[in-house]
Amino acid sequence: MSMPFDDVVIAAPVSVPYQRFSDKRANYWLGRALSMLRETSGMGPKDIDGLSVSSFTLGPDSAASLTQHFGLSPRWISQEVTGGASGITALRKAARAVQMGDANIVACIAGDTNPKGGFTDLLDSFSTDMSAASLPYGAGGPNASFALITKAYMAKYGAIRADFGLLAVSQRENALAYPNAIMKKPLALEQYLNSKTIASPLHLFDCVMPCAGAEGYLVMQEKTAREYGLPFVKIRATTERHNAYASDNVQLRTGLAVDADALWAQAGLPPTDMNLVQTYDDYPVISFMQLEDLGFCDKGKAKEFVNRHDFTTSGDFPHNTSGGQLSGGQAGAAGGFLGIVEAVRQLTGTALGMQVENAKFGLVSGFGIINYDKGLSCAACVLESGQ
Amino acid sequence: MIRLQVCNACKSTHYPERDICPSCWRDTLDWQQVSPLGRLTTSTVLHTSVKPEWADKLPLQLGLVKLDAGPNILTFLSASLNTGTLVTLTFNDGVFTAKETL
Ligand SMILES: [Zn+2]
Repeated sequence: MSMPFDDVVIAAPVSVPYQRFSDKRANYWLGRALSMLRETSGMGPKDIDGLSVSSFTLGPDSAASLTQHFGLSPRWISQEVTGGASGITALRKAARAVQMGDANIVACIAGDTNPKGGFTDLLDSFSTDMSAASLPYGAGGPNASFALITKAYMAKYGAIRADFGLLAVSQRENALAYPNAIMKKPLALEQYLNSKTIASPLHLFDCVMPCAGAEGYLVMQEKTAREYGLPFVKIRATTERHNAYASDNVQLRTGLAVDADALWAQAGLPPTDMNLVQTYDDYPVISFMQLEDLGFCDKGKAKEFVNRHDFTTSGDFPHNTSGGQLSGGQAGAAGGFLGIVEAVRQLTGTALGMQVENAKFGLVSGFGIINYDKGLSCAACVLESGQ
Repeated sequence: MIRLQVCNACKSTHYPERDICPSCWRDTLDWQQVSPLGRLTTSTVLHTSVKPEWADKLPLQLGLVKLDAGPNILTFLSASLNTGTLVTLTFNDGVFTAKETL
């Protein structure tokens, strides 16, 4: 089993409000995350000695070249490449660096820009396999891949569109209370069902809206957080897995299923102890799979689970409490940070939207890097309020 | 027949193009004729594309095929086909198309 994270904590969750389109560079959005981290924590370029960066639109830049761009002289840097899992994979590395004394305070930031037409460019440079085996077939990109997965999932487990709709509708309700959400109007199940087809069985409200934005948080020792008077959360357990179940014909399970037992064992908690859950929701089906593979319900039973529980922030299963990407928008790699940043806010009692009452434990999971048939990377963490 | 990479050492078949064999890590991949037969495992009708050049060809029938030779291939479908249909792949102009095996 992985070693515990001792007294390493997460603090200063920040979200740079998203914009549908932006002509600014990714450097700007990442830089805004740093300036918000400074405003939130009081820690500036002289204090930060570790930098973790996650972005799809950095172009020729890297975590290394950005140190000069941002006036940093860190003794530890890392660049995350796991997209939707990057919020958690960044945490895993940063927490170990702090634990082992290789850095005192690590800024973990993720962000992307989105000029008009930028999403197409992003897909063109996403991966060799997407370029070779997905884009030549009508260039549906992730919509096409997840349509194929969603149809197979529905056929195997009997889920219907209205089941996925419950997830989208509850997240929209959460988003209406979250000031940074791109979607500002209520969404009724009828609207969800009657929206236009994108790639059957996916319709408009199953898909995220690409936008520009950034997210970030700091990793440090608990005593450092106390010195600065920062609310913090503790890391009970983490896991990641890549290219699991490679021989499956269609992806109906994620790598989280490989490691869920070890995750809960390390946390010393069962799934039922979680006061809030943030899954990676670029399409509802993948949130269903994360809930199943992490043991919140049996395999194939997320359909029943979502019908039996209230997924809104004030409900009995608070899920994607900022509205997630489905209602908040997908700011590239920042989508992989949205869940952890929101969980840290909730667990420190600093929600920007509606606060989950008495939130002590939270689960965050991520999923990313869809090549042509499967998403390759997944990760999860169990967090505990430091209060 | 269709052409895919086959490993001369371990005989596994691979798609999309690989640079070393993912099964045995040897530099022994070779383009060979393999069976075009497989089974449709899921499908979609694509109504939107990220690239404008596809706009006048929409909607498009797409499917995922598990080849008898091993790999999964995302492919065009010649018609609307049910999951589980036995299909034959052809390769033209850089893309695969699956039609029902007769
Ligand atoms: Zn081989």
